[in-house]
Amino acid sequence: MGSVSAVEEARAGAGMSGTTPLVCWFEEVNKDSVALVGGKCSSLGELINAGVRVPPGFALTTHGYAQFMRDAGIQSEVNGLLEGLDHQDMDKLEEASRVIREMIESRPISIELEDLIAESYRKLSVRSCIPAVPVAVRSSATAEDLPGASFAGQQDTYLWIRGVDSVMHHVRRCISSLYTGRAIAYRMKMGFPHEQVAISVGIQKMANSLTAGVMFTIHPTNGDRSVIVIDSNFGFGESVVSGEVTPDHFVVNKVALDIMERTISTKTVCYTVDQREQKSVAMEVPFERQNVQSIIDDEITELAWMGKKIEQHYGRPMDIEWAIDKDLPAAANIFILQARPETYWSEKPKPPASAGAASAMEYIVSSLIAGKRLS
Amino acid sequence: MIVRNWMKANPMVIDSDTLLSEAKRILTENNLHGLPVVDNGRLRGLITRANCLRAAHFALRTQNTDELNYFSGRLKVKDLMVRNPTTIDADDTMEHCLQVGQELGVAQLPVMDGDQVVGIISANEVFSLAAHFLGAWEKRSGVTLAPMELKPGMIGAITDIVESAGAEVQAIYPIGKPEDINPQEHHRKKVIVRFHCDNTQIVVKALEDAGYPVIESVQARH
Repeated sequence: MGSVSAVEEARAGAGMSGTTPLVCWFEEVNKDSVALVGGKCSSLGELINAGVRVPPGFALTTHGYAQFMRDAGIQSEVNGLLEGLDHQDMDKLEEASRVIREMIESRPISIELEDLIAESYRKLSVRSCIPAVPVAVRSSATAEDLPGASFAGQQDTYLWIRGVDSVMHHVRRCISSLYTGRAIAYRMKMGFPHEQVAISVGIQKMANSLTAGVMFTIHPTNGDRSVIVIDSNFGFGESVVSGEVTPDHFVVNKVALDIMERTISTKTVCYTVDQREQKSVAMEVPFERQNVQSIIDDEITELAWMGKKIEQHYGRPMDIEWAIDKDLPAAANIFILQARPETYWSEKPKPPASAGAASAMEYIVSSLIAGKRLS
Repeated sequence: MIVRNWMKANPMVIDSDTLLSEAKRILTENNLHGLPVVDNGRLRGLITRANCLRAAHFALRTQNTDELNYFSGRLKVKDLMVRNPTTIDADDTMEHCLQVGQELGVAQLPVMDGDQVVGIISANEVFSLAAHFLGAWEKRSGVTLAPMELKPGMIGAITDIVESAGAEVQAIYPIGKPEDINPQEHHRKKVIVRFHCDNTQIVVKALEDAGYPVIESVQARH
């Protein structure tokens, strides 16, 4: 009889009913959950709850991360390695980073934690109707340790991961990305203690993308808020995000959703899945497709419409990653993989539209032009 | 009725690194419903036939050769097994086991002795339990009496009536609905009587004359 209640306890501990969940589904979090699941996963939760089409997934929370570090018992060793290093000496930092990352990646995940992750992964597979569903494993940093755009590019993302063993391995690699040379240097410079930072890992169903890319609901080069700008390439979005190719470029009117400008580039490389090996590979775009528009016009319109909705939900210009799945029918195949507030233009102070407020009338006119938010 | 005496002892177990196709073969060839997954003597999960078949269906439905190859050549037991499955203790009662199965809707329960898997309870064992109870191979005759409030002495009285009608009582089972089980209250139960006799009609008549309405009767044919 004891065993049944033990199982129930384990279940209670695994779900959200526990005060500190080690693993949780994206739909259980929202944009206020950054401390629990990091920026990336919390924004995915926010999008799902706002009704946006996002591939399902779950996160190893920062508590899960802390549990892993406690089980591994390496925090003091890690601190020892970083003791007395200079944050400007990148060679030494990189060396320390390599040793630490190897150490983290060689530690086994405890059976309890593995069971929690693997059980969520199994449920995700059942939901997705594919045994051992291919997933993207991404690190999701909490705000205070790796802030802003400067670090976004160097957090780890692993695509098309299949099978429990592989998921576990890449979860560890994402955890260890907390100790890249640059992250260590940044924390030393800012004076954050290493043992207080935490990371979360998102495990999300992989969209088998035919086309993917990014979308800004603001013009990234001139800050024009009346347009939506879409960049696209064949395959996974990573080729666009990393800037490896010159993507197709579209400018869409935000009100009428017309395509105002289109630039079709020669796209030489795309990331896609090698079906036989079941892993993500970079491959050359077939010659006959290199100069073909990688996304059809209807999808651009649909995508821009989704971008507009997301902007409305957040109330500010957004930087969005998207993908179009090749296995699903039109109208159900566009997925949002990530949405974060655009930081460059929206944080720039706006020059006043009408300068000066010498008289009361001028003041009224200038505030009419600038507009005022009442709520 | 202790689980230890009813379970299938020393069940086949499987390692979590085994290919799923191998697990599926073992399940099919041995006509099993579930296999406990044991690594280094520790129970890690349970792989069920239903989950195997569902996964096979998912893979087939993609109509993709590479997906089928992945299914048959790469997918492992650990990718599909249920982690932390519900278990029961070898010293639990069978009543407890049935209750757990009913409440959680599971039909495969690994049986633990300490931290060792010593057996399994699955549909086969539950069938065997029911068959023993009803003496399925004895071919008994029987009647079912309309729901009544059981009071002390009533079962004895019913036995006397049936036996004086020339039958040989084998078993009496009062049956209530699970939702109104409350030991504090009297509640109405049907009473099922199983006996050996050549003419059930005589027994039925005797019971009805004594004020026990019969709602069902079975005459065994040998």
